[in-house]
Amino acid sequence: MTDNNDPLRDLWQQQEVVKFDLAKLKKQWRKIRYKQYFYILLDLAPVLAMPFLLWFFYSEVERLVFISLVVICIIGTGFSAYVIWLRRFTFQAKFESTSNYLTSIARQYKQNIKIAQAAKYSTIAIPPIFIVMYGGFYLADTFEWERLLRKVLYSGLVLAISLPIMWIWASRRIDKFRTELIKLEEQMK
Amino acid sequence: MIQDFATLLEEYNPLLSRIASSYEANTHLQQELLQEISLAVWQALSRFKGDSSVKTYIVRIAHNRAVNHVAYHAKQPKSDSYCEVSSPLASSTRSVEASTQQKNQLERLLQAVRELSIQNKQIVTMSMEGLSYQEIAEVCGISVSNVGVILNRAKKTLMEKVQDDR
Repeated sequence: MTDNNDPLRDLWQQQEVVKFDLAKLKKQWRKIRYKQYFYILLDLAPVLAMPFLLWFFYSEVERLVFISLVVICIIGTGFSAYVIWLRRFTFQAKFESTSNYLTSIARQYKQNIKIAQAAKYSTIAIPPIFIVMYGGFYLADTFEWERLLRKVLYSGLVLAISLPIMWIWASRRIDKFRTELIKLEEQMK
Repeated sequence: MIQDFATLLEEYNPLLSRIASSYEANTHLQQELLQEISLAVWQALSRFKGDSSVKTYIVRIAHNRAVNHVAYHAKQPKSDSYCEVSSPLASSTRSVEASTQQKNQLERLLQAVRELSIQNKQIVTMSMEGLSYQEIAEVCGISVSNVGVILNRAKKTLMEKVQDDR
């Protein structure tokens, strides 16, 4: 049921046509593929490396240090699982009707905000975990005083540099996704 | 069987370009959006199962991609533009006056289409690209009668804006 004598349609068809760049397109396509592989690797690498690291350190470190590593691995795996759970909508089909598609994009933006918030607030959780861990090492007399102090100093330095960067990065992502969500909702009205 | 990707894109280039122009006023951003749409179509073609026509499928992918693009970019028109365009109007033998009038009308039409809500814009552009009510309903996920109602209202508004010479 279409109108073949539609003046609007005739006018519409008179538009200037912008041409796509096929060479650029092929380049973009390859870039996307590499990026996808990289992200999969990035998600899987720590999870796959954990059992090997634990197995390696089992006979190398003190019992308390090993238990601490196990606890960190469990927390890390839990966090990764939560992030993957939040990302689940990304893997769903995107070729549905536009009204459903719009809803799923809005939902994905909300999940992205949650992922960024989780990353942001994990920076607050990391220092207490390290304090508890090194406190345990101190109380259990796991390391010599000087060695423990050196470890605390190095870890503290790494955390002092990396955590504020992570906080700022996560905050920016929250702002970015909020802005995108607002724009999308305005478009949906 | 789906044709070679490049041939298929070449064939649907004008349609994809018009969809891009219904979302972006700036030529540079149109070009960027067209690239994004073409890439999305390329990615999606391998999953085409023949449930609809290739055209309907491509239009759906294009609109979905365009919606994403608009959410990413602020709609601030820029004065610069550098990309290659081909103009069917340029080859026309009509008088300069008629050509200018048509250009102005087209500009008003595009402006009016860009101001529509996503759903209305989608319905209007698909109709102007020759898709049937049934196909439009399928892409938008609404009923055929609803398509008719929205289309009639939107076209009436567009016609008024196009004919408005002020």
